[in-house]
Amino acid sequence: MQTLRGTKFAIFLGLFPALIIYLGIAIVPIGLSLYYSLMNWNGIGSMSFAGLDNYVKILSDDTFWLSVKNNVIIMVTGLVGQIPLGLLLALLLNRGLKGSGIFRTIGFMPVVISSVMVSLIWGMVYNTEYGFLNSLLGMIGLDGWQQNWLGDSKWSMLSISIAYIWQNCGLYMVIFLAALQNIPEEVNEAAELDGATGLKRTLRITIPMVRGTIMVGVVYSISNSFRVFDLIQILTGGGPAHQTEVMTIYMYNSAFINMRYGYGSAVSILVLLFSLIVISLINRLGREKDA
Amino acid sequence: MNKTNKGKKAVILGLVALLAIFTAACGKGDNASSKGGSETETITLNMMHPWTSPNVDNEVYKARIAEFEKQHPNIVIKQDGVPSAQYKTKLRTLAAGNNLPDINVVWPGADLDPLVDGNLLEPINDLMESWTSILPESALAGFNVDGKQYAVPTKQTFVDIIYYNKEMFAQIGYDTFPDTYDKFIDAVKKLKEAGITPISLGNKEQWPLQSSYISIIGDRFTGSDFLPAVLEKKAKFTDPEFVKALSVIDELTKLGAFNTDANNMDSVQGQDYFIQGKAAMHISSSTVDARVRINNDEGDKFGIALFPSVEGGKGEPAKSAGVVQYGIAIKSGLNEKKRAAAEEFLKFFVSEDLYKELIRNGVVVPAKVDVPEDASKYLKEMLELTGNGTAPVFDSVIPTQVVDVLQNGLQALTVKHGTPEELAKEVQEAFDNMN
Amino acid sequence: MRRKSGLFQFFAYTFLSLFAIINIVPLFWMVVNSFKKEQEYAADPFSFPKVLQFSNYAKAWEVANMNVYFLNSLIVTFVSLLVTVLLGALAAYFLSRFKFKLQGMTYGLFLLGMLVPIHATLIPIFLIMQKLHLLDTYWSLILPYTAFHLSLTVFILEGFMRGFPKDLEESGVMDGAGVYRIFWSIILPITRPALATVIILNFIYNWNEYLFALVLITSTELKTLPLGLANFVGIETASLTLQMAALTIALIPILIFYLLLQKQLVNGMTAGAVKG
Repeated sequence: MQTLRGTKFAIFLGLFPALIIYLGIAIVPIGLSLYYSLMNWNGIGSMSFAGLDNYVKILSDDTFWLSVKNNVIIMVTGLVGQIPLGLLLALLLNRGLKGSGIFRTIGFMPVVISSVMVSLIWGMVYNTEYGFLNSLLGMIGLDGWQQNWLGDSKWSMLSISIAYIWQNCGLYMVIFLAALQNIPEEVNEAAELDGATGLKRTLRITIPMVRGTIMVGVVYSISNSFRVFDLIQILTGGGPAHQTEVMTIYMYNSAFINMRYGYGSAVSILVLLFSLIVISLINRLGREKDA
Repeated sequence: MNKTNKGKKAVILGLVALLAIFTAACGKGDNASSKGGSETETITLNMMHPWTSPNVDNEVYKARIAEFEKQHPNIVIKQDGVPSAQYKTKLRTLAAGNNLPDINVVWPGADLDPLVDGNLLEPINDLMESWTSILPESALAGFNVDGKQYAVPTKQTFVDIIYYNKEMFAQIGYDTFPDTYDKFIDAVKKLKEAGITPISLGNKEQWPLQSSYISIIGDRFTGSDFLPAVLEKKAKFTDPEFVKALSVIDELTKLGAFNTDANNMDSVQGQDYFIQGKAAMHISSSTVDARVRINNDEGDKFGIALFPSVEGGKGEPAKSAGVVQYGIAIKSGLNEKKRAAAEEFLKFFVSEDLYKELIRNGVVVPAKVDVPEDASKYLKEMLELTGNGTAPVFDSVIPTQVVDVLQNGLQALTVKHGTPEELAKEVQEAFDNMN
Repeated sequence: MRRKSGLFQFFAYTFLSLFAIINIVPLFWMVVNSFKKEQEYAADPFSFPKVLQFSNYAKAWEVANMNVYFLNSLIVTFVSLLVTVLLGALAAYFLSRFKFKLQGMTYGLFLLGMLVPIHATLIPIFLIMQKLHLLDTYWSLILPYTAFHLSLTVFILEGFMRGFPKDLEESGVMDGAGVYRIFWSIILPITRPALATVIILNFIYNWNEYLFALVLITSTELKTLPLGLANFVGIETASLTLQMAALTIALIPILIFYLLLQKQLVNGMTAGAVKG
């Protein structure tokens, strides 16, 4: 900021403590992972240099690409589901309706409860024989629509995505709600004078005002979708036969179950790389619109 | 302005208070750990175990540790109870840092090998006389690498017990459990016709089909020498006998023998499904008997059996697939005092008294000890059923990477992907790629 | 002031109520089951308990070792949260309101921590803590929690602060206030809704964190609540009703914390402007 020619020293002092913890505890492990990814190592005992062998093997493994595909499904459905729904809820709850506080609390509940519980709940919803969903469909006479929601590969990823959206939607609601607070009252008043009300005002004025935060939400949603683990691990374990496996589960199985730690580290570097690519693409798109 | 200043002060005060609590709590931790070095010569041994859940056998183990501490006031066992699902993850992380606790609970065979390769465990050959009289050779073999013994087991698990609902079998005209594979398949078909789910399976974690099914079905077809022969490259997974074993899963799937949700239910949910009377059979380990019959008011409804004989099979039809569990091992490189204390603990902990106490609580043990009169009738039945020879459990012999391929392939068969022949080929390839 | 048509209200409430039901039913179900006997649950997970098993809660408290773990969780959660939010807000302030060399790179670096799968860092973090001789101390959890959540904290707060009007600091500069003074008395107050957001998120993530706590802590005296909550599942056995009772207990602090903070969440610039 030009107005504040803050001294270099003040900036350094402000960033230093955060950076030192962050570099030491978060960046060094990433560096170590990169190092292990070039090694042949079972996690115990001696390691040997493998060069890019691990990467070559991973990229030629069909199961890995299946997990990439599943991550992309989670990412897209997450973006399409969480962001608009979160925004809609935030907009509604920002209008000072009676009972907003209660809805705000209830809407946030799924974020708060642990993944173990979320998976238990959705396991009950999707159960073929006595689950909520199939019972409901049976009750309204749509027996033909009943499916093996988690076991049938046609439906399993979609079913997981819905549970995933349910779990995280409230998070984006809260982030957007916070952003809406920072729209100055004058802006709304000015809009009212111009005759912009209701939907028009929301679309033309409110949403553009929180665009920056929407971008924050988008990037966060992408980064989360590449790191999803607990929900799927407990809901389906990545099965049947890898059908719902995502990259993090693939990584975990390689490193901790099959004891190929070098290989697993290489997967995690690829996860990082993929999300970085997607996010920079999105950011570029966002910037272009800005200009 | 004044108001905000007050607010700030409150915040800072709160921060200071929190830091104070925090440092105080930290200090407490330090005191506890420095106690070991005081003049009373107390020796502290760290022990990691997966006995956190409120089961009968876990209670027995903990009571045994407490008893040891009572009798040895100069030795403190500092326990780290790790939830069993993540026990191996923690063990492997600690192993990566060469930082195992002094006393560990380890699994036999393929799980043990890397720890031995990394020289992380101390051989206990010198202590073996304490157990040779009560533990059979077979119970120790899994923890023996190249003639060195690294652990002694506390518990025996038979992984292939078929629990069946007597009423449902009576309904289709079977008063006893079918003793041949053909009759077994006939029963499955009749159950299906009667509108009963024949077998309840919870295969989400993937091991049940491999461990509880293929271990014993494989043995019936190939005989018990097969898996060791594969390891020595004298046999292959693509041999027709093993392919036939895999075909059983395929056949059962095609008959619709399993519940629809088999792949998204875990093993406990699979048990519940059976206990709720929604299926006629459930194949699982002897440990599960606690939930199915021993602690169940309606336990008498259920019977136990082994997988029937198969035509032309090379295996012994009376054998049950068993594995020893919870090997207690000592970390390598302990100083003399600690090592002596650890050995003392090992001798005390794994002993005839422990085995007797476990049996009294309905747990099957690997040792040859007399069954007390007051043991549960279900346990006696279980011991009789499983007492006619032991077949190896697949994943206690075969390396994990190969097991992983088999497990995923079996899951694929249950959703009608792939064929037994293809799966056998994949498993063999995974094995060949290892070396 | 705002005109709201009846129709709009009708649809808004219908939508919100539907949403609320979908969110609350599972929780209700969890609480109901937490009062059942294990056998009752195994027989039918959807039934109501014949007798309320309050003893489940006592037993759950004991199995999860909550006497000890509860306080540990509170300490680790709050200390990490305070450090993270304080340092994160400061970093976000400099990253969003100033121009300096390596700014882009610093920001990118902070983003990186949000992208790495947590399992991949498990062994490296363990080795680092071993080197620092911090294994099995509160610090072995506080440091990773702080480091990894700094990413998210900086990222969200930077996004907010960047959006503030550019002339915001001017009055402060005219008064001759230094950069830290401006941070404290101008920027922080209007960042309150975003601060509340990251505080809540940090609280939840720290409170529920499991993996690091699993491998880095071995002493019972230092373990945290999520480890206790996993105590109910054995290899082939589980006590699900007890686990649900424990999960219900563990939920209470987060709920209280959220309820306390949610006023701040909707108390932003408008309120701040009036006070100022």
